Amino acid sequence: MALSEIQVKHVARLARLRVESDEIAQITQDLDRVLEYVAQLSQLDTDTVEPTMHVMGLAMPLRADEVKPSLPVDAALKNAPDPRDHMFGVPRIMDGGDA
Amino acid sequence: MNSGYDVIIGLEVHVELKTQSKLFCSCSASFGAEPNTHTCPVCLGMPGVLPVLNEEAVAYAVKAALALRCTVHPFSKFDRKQYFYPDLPKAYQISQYDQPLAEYGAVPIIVDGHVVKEVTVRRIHMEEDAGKLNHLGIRLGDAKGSLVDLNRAGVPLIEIVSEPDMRSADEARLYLTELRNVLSYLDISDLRMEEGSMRCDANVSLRPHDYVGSLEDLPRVEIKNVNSIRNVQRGIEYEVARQAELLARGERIVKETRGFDDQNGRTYSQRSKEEANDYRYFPEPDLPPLVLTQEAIERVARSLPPAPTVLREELQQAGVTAKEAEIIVGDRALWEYWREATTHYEDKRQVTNWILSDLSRLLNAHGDTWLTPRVTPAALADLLRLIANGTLSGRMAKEVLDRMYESGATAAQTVEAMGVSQITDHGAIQAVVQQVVADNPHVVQDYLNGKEKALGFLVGQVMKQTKGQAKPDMVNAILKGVIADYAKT
Repeated sequence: MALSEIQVKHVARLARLRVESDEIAQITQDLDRVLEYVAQLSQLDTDTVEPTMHVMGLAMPLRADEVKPSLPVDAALKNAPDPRDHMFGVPRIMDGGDA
Repeated sequence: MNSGYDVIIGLEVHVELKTQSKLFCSCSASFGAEPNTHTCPVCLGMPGVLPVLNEEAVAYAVKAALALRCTVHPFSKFDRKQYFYPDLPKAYQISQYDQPLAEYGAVPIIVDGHVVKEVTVRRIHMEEDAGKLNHLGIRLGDAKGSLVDLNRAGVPLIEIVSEPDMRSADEARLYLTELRNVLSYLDISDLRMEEGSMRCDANVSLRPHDYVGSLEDLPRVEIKNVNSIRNVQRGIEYEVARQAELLARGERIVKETRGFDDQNGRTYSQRSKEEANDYRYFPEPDLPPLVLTQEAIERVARSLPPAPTVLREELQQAGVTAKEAEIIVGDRALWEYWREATTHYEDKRQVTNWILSDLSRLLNAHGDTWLTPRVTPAALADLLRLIANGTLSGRMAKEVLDRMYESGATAAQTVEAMGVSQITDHGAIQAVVQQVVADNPHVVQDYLNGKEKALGFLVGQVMKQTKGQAKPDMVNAILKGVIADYAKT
């Protein structure tokens, strides 16, 4: 088996998925089989093939820099569980952020 | 400073581009609006929406890259950077990972008008900004929760990453100053660190002289989001001292992110980076690659304004000192004022003196900037002409300038309204001088006995009687002549 239980726990943590300890072994086994299946692609010789960045094969469509009306604030906050002062209330953050 | 290690500093600078609309949607990108009034399904991260790239943001980014002497790649792509944080509604940021817009540029470090070093710009990429968190509580650590404003989410950013080429806090300051100078002439960003339109993260590590590993393996501390160039310098200074003390005690430096407290000048631990940096980048499936033709890149290159180094040279050729040139180049509006004033008046040295002393003083006193000076360059030139033709002494001109600044009137109008005009008539000055000499025989005797200061008193009397309008060098010459005649009698 290529995948370790530690790796599975790590990936679960990154994805904020709760994984019970009695599930780990089974998930590791399942995930490993998925990876094994995909790994078949490695058998192909792709040395002379350009990497595929995008399946559409288009160049980037661009948009003129023009402002169009935004949503009304009430609509923007409509699905928010804890709207306060026209903002999205969120629970206390334990960790630092990114930019 | 301890000679047992080198200070290694690399800077990551985020610059908000001042486009009208956001990077991937048509919401306004302007700063300071009511919370969440600039949002739409795209920047709120609703399911099923698609980003469409803003062409102006690309143009601005290319401009910045070329001005920083980077190679702009005709082919670049966007990637998803995944992390969970409440200011990021999609739970990923659209950024550029392994194929950024531009690479390998340089920013000169300028000391006394000379390039002493070039810092390599490793890469420049485009990405979207995150929203803004307002913490309920004094500090993040004891906040009860946060309120999220997503107006900023999706505003276009460029991230400018330097190589770890800087060796002191001072070099970091000079890098940032010149980086901001270069960008300021492109008109692509407000570049206001206090408003967050320019943000800097500093990576600081100490490399002991006996260290043999690679720079990447050195434990590195990242100081996040400092709000002024001065504070970046202070933060680095503190961090260098802190790490040096740890090394001296034989302790390990932990790789981590630290914040900067500008009240006490210290950095403080925010979180350990051991696991945090697993962003699982992958190509953004909603955006095809960005393809730029060589022709389009060259068109932008041709439209670039002169670099600050070129402006410095022009200033120094005009007789401006290196220190003065740094002040002028460091403020684009001031540079433009200087350039215009010198087209109206050819003594550039004189123009520089008046701009940097009296006009600067007036601007500061009134809380104005060079964007809104109340005396135009042409009006300043007119005033200087009145000095040159003898109508005003330098001292009188200062008073006239003060009045001009208040009233917005021209130099000629102000001179007329104030009733000031320099007395250059020899006979008129001589008459006053003779009177002063006759009235002060003891002082004249003191002067003749070698008391040089006595002359100053007599000059003062003449100036007082002429309400300060007599031409000072004429007063001096005539006074000496009259005293000489007096001595003979």
